[in-house]
Amino acid sequence: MNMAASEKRLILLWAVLVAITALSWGSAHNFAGPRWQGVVVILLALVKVRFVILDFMEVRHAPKALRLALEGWVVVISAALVGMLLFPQG
Amino acid sequence: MKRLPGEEGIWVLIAGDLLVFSLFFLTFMYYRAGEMAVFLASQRTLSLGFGLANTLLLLTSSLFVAIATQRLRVTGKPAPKLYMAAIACGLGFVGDKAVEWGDKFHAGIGFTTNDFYMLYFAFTGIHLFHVLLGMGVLSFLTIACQRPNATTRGLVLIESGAIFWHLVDLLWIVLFALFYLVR
Repeated sequence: MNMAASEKRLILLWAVLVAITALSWGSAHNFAGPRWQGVVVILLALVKVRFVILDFMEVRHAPKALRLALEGWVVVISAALVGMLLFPQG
Repeated sequence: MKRLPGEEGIWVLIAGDLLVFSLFFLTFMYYRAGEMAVFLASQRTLSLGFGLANTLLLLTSSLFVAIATQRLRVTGKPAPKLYMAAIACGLGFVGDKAVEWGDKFHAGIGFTTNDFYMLYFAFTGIHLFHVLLGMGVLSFLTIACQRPNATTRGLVLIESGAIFWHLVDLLWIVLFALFYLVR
């Protein structure tokens, strides 16, 4: 991949992250929103986090162990946060 | 081809910080579950626009840092202005936070108002400390990327600094979602 193409890819990713941010932000304006609003917001945030790890931190091309550890963390923290949101009584 | 970006040590620091902040995120959800009404009412007094602006500032700064670091490695050309642009975004973040917190203090809202605001000031405060630290790191990168060894022995150090700045961005993404957006 030449330089220009890899930089374009980063800019495209940034645009996607901004779009996801706008979407989550828009969903928060209705205070009496449906229950799944929070689930969607948390999952979208962790999708953004995954791409920051893979493409900004460049973990996509790092040794497998590091990638597995970080992607594993994303999955575990997503599940924990969504679980606590849906089942607040434990 | 697999290659570890940055020094090994930076990943130890990242892992430690992720675990500490994971604990913060879970603590927030735990208190929220116990005092849902207080948390939802307090959340309504936060400024969504300030939170959004800060998220966009950090995302954009991350883009500048990622491009500068990649360009240095691929073409050997330093891009100190991109690191400076990222520092400017960081300054914007700090200014935004100062105005936002100032508004809250002015309205009589502080650390001891309730559990929501206690966690809010504690966790976003610790994050703000990371932003300030990160701006110091970025200042170093503007100089380090112009040194003769920047594409050889100096590269991993520059990558490490960039990775730390992306961590600052990453942590804010989750804080913004939990404090401002989850209804």
